Amino acid sequence: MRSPGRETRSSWSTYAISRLSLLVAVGIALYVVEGYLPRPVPWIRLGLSNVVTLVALVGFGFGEAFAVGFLRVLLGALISGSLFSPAFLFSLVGAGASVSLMGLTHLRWKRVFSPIGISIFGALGHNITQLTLAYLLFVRKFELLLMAPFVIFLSVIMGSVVGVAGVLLLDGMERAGLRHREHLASG
Amino acid sequence: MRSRAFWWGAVIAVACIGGWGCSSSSSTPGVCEQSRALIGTVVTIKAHHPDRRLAEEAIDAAFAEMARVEKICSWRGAQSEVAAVNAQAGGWSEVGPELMELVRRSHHCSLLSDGAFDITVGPVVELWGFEQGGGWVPSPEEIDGRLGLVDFRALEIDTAVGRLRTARPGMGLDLGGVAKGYAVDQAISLLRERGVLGALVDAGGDLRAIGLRPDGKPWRIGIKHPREPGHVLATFELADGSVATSGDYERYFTAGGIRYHHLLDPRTGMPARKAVSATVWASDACTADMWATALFVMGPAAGLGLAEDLDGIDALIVEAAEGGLVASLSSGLAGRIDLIDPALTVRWADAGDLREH
Amino acid sequence: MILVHSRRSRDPRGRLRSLLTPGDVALIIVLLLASGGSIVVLRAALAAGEYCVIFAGDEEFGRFPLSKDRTVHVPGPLGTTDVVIRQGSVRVVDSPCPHRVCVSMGEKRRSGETVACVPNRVLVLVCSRRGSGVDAITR
Repeated sequence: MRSPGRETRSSWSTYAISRLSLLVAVGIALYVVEGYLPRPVPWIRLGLSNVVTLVALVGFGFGEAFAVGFLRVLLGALISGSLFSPAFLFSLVGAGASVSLMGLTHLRWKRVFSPIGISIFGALGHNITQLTLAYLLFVRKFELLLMAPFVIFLSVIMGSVVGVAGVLLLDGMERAGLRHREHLASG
Repeated sequence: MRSRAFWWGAVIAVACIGGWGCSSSSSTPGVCEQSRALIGTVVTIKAHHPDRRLAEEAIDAAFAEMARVEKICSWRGAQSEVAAVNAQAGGWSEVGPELMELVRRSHHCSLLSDGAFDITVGPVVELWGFEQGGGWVPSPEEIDGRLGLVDFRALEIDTAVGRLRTARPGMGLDLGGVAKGYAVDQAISLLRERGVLGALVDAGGDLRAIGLRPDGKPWRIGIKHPREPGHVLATFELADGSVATSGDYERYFTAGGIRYHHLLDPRTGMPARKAVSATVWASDACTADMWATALFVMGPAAGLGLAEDLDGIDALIVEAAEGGLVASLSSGLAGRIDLIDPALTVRWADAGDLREH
Repeated sequence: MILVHSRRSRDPRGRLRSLLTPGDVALIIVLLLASGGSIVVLRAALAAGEYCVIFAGDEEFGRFPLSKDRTVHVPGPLGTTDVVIRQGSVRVVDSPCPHRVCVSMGEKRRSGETVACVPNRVLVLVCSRRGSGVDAITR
């Protein structure tokens, strides 16, 4: 498997750093743009910025995805002014769960699931973790669990949209010569 | 097949997250809770402390203290101080300071309630057989015969020496209306001594709380619905304080289509009919316990006015009327109680008029 | 590998099919079933509503048993919202709000369900008298 990103064996080459920066920048741009889109319910986001996390994972591996996800949440919170607020905690925990679950799926079952499937897992991890956190920290009412079916359904939609966008982006990157490491077609 | 195992894993994980959420919602987390059979009922103590072990030790000590109170007050146990007084009826018997204080407080309540509460009611209660578990309706002659033995005024207290005397042979003390409350108060003071941050002691519905729950909110209490088992009539918050309820649904039997319950009017020897339940708020459980019994017997018409006049006491008295249950509330409860039975007619003591939902 | 797919397929439908692996399809189906199934389970877990509490603005307007059919006229800043209680259910039948979302929410009969007319500041909560969330009961 050839990997342009790993041509120099040092862990953070100039190429890797610029690639990481680009991914984080695109992620934040998507995060900001998404903030302006109309939303049916205030706290529901499509999570478009997760596209870059997905691309980083599938294209360049778990470590990079983790870095992108974390930096995206941190800088996004800085921009929206919600650093260290409960909303930030929610984003951070959600993103952590999302990246971990996507990474696990990608490492163990990349032959079973396409990036779309991986993305659905990510959305599911993100949403269920946040719902659980909301239950533990704030509401503690049985009624909150009524959200669970809705949250699962929403995860499928959000994950699919992000997944399709991720596949298109990976495609584009490959055509542009930024070839990613392995995109399903491995093996 | 790996993928199939994975599906099941995912489904079970989702189910677990949901299920775990459910079970922890039923009881407050971080609270130590224990129940024991004591003073003729089931006592449940909930308490929390940063050190869970200390909370558990405090609860154990509180139960031990309640068992000690039971030893003093039980009128069945041959060894109790109360049993000694009853055996000595007609003559003086020396008693400890705690029993003395309980009798003095009961006497005070009897005076204020004009005999609606009376710790010398024992001989008549015995006649009805509630203590034996069943029950039968005594003849008016039998009741009349025993009523002569029921009179709190015939109870002489000598605080200087620490002794008391039931003036007539056959009289007997029955601390059923105060002992539970007093035991709860003792348990609470022990829990407080041990430094618990918050606690709720529940002795068969006589409640007293100190502090807050671990989540920083007051304890949430429901009042049992007098006519619909398994339902609550109202809910309210209790931070530092006590509440007790007397109801005609706790111990009763039915004969000839009539419900005969164990809360007798000490002046007639018959079950009190003016209310179906009375809930009293007070700073300590002993007071709440006594007044719940007294106001139940007095009924809303006389009882609510008295509750209004008494300092530190609030009351909710429910009566059965033609159109359903009517709840009368003292003015101090305004804004503090959530009456969740929509069929209930509500009457506030200060307004005088009927304000229906 | 069977799962190798061409991302350069010209036919968009063929392309979508090649994007999704059988695993993806199975995942989506399982999650949709889990979502629908859990709705059924959770609804069954909710007690049937016994009464409703209606709020007009921040004030409680009243409590009404669901066992007794009636129409309640609730005043709000835009006008009157009509709430109908019928055979154990409650619904908003008319409201002076622009989109009439509340009217389209249909009838609610289970404890915990709500109907809200946000523009006219009317909120209907279905409740049950089961003493859930209570630390102790005085009796």
